[in-house]
Amino acid sequence: MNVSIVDALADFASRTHLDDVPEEVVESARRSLTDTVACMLGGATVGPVQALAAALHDVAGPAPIVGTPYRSMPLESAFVGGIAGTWMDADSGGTRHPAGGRVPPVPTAHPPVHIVPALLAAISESGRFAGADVLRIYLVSYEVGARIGNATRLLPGIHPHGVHGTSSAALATGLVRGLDVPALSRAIELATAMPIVAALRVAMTGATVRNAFAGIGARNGMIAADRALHGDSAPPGAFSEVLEHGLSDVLDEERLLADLGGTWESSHAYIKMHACARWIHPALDAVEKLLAPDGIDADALEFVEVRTFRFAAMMNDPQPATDLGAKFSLPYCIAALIVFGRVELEAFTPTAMALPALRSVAGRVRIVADQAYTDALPERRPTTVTFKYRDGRIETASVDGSRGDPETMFTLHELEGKFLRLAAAAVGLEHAERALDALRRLRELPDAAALGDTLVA
Amino acid sequence: MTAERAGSRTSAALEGLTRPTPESAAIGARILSAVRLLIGPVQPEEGSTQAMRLAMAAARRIEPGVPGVIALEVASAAMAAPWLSEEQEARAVWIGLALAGRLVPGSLLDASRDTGTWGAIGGAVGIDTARGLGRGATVANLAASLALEAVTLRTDDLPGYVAIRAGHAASVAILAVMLADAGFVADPEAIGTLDGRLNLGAPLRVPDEGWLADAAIDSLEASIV
Repeated sequence: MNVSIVDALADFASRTHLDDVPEEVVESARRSLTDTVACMLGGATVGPVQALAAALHDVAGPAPIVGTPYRSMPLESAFVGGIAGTWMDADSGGTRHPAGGRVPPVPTAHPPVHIVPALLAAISESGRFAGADVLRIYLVSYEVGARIGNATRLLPGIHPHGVHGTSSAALATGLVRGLDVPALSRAIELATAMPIVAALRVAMTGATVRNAFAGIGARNGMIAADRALHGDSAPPGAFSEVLEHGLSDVLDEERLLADLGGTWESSHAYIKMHACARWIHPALDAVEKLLAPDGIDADALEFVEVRTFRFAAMMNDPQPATDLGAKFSLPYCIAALIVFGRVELEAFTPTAMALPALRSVAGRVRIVADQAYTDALPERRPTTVTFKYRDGRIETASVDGSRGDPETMFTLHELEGKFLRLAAAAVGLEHAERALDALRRLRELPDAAALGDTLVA
Repeated sequence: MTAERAGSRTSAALEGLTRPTPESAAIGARILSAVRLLIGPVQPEEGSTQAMRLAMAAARRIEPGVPGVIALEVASAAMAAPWLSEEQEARAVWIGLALAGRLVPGSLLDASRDTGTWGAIGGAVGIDTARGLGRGATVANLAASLALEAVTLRTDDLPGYVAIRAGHAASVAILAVMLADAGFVADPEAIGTLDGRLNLGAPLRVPDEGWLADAAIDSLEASIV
């Protein structure tokens, strides 16, 4: 039974052409790919990623390490790309409530940050490769990854990176390599049989090795595809063993394949404008409603009260030790938004993290876990923020969720603004604009190498 | 950034790990020699991809036996580590196997659970110790966070799959050291978390730290044609 599931996924990926897909789905995929590249570029600017890229530099390597001046072997390029793509915690993910109905919602799948690093690394070895094929491979690999995420339920305490995104990376690599359906099936199943024991507590404690989970997932996906090409296979039944009796305890086979090619789960994804854990986003959107266009005087605030659902309220460390810890800290992110006007790269530099003004505001954030708000999950993520000023003024704003969901998606202008800010920080404005232009015209690009050339510093 | 306090399981695993004596380093050298003979001529390359290739090649050529696979995971990592002299490689192998021997669940090993994991941790600590950097807890925890999940299915007739798991371990051993060099922060409880998932809290096998290397030598040397 499970072999046929994997075969069905491989067959779908192999036979789907862009002309078979509704235009709005293709455009959604193009924007998602563009956003993922933006996250990889932004993440490539941080010190540890730069240091790792330099250490892996290989002058003979065919693959550029995105956002850096370095090249490497494709596996290393994919590894660093996955790390960079998740470092900011600004990458996209699925919005569907996964199978099993657990509350708090189990983490959703994040296929893009596994697929794109592997895809770009694989293309670097392939010679001429049309942009339309890049877009097609991204779309179908994402669709399979999104469906696997939706149809499974990760065990409590398991992080999705490096687990069910790996098969999407294998699929993308296999399609670039021209694998036939049986080999693609083997690649998917081999990749599924290579999950890491991705512990959620690693992220919750601010350990930045969390960012290597997606990197190793992208890398293992490439390895799975290459080994499948050489005839290797996973133990029979590995797909269901891992996803139904391993790191996930539910595999809803009907949901996995339902209307495959007719409905598009990859379009039901969120995109982030705040570079932090998504549970914090409703509070940040509420804060934005209270901020004047030119900001506010942070010293004038007596306190900020955040009334939110329990799982956001648990992210309450006011003095995080690492930048990843800061991205999982509601007080820190609110303070960063008030001080910088944006929760992006500049809010998590070592300088920013040591800023007394920012730490001072974080120390004035009070968090209240509200049961009624918690009960509204997963359909809504209500949050209310109150500013109490020292002069006695009180201002309040409420939201029912955060922007960036399919129903509240950012405008193209906003998304491209994010791309240009992050890309310019990594490769300079000229390269950033050329890269964005190439990504706008991806479907018409005769050779995607033109894109790759713009993604290096 | 990498000087976080080690969790209890990590501390216990590393505590009192003996520095190699000339005799134990000789065992490491024997293991390296056996793995080289299994692989055949090796390109003079270094790095995590090369470690993976070496481990995959060796794993396809040995008789079934998990100690031998763990040993070739550690040895391949040491051989491809870009920082080590030949003498340091031998020390790294012995230290790596001494640590892996403490961490594995017991003498009844399972290729679908015990490859792709303990060799990565042992290999990383062996390399780091041989370099004289003294970051054992950090690299052990970094490697543990990237270790493979058990896939409890029969793997006896799938040398290719076991080879892939071995390649993962050898790669991760080097990558964990590189992550530490680059300033990545480890979870101090990573070995404890991995242990809870794969090992179900079995006690550390501390008293006889040479047992895994001894068992591996038999397996490796018996596989050389």
